[in-house]
Amino acid sequence: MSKFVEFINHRFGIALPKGFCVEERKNNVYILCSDILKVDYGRMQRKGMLAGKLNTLYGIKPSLNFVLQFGHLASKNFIDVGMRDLHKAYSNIPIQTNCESCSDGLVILKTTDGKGAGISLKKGTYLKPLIPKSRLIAHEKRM
Amino acid sequence: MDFSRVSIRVNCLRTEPRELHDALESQGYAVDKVSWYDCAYTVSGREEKSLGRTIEYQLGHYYIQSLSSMVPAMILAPKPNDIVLDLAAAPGSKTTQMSMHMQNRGVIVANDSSYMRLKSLGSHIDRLGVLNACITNYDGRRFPSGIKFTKILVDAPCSSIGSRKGCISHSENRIRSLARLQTSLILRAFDLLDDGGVLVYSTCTTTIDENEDVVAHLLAKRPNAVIADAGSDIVFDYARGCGQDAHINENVVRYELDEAFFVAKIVKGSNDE
Repeated sequence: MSKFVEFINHRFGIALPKGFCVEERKNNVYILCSDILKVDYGRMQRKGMLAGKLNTLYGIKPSLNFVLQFGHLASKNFIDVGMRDLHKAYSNIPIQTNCESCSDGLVILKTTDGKGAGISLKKGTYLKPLIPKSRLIAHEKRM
Repeated sequence: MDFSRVSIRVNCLRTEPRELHDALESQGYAVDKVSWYDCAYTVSGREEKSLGRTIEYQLGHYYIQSLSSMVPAMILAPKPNDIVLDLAAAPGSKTTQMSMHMQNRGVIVANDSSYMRLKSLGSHIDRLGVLNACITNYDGRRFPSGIKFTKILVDAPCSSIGSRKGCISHSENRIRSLARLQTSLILRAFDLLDDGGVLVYSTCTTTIDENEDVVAHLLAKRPNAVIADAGSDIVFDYARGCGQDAHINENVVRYELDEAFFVAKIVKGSNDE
């Protein structure tokens, strides 16, 4: 089994839905619909969506896009956040949390309707957003 | 500050149209449905560039796309079991639209000849959660044989006269050069089609050299190419409602919703016909 698949299953309880698989290439992990496995061209640049990286400062790390697509499947180490905290996360502002069911480490942020919305690093009651710079929203006033 | 209406396409792989509508309205935007497409809205009320800075944009809930450019993929109408080639895919508005219609199943080969533009294609594919696409970097005129595609979209590079991006003045030589490129692309694309497959050719320009003449050249060179009804009802209904221009000449469609566009739908008969 892929190290990435093992990790997301162990840490977040996410099992990949049927019909999708992952491909690991160097440090990158891509998730793709199984139908495109058979497609092969000499000047192929990539298949599917970047799902994460295997070797980062935080170890194996799912990408923000993976979390947005599959974060709703997480059954552990996730935190529900309201819009105010979500704005903070996407403004790179740390969030405070009282969540005791999550262990320190990577946690998935979910919206109140259960959809994956972001990824953070938890240490005690402190959540450090791990949103890529290119995805941060410009904010006019810091909260 | 108000601005002339901008259109967005809802990414139904991530959210529902109604949810996005409510989310944007709560932020001060005026959001109106588009009658002929459930996944499209027109938006006004705030600065245009603010639409690219909302949380919903970063969550991949929509793509800022002109109404005109939504039509070719609708006419191609890819299904989950299709094998689709988008021959000039970057930056990815139609690739991601087709993936949505295919419910992230089947195969899309998203090709572009420009290596520099593949980065934006990849970032849109990632942001919108497209899992059934692979990216290739070929000159479309020399795209390799192998897979026979059931559907192909050729949204050809063009002079963009009438495009919202704004056009620069093009010399006659430049237009002729573009027409030669487009002719090569449409011929190559047609040869990659499976029997019974569908090709949609589109541009965002108004010149006959780049539109009707290119299609006419294909029909002349490939006897088994049959022009089909481009599904113009969609376009007519909207255009009539806005008092805008849309007309058909032998089943090719020229229309102008928010920018000029041309679409032709061609079906490949078997060689025995």
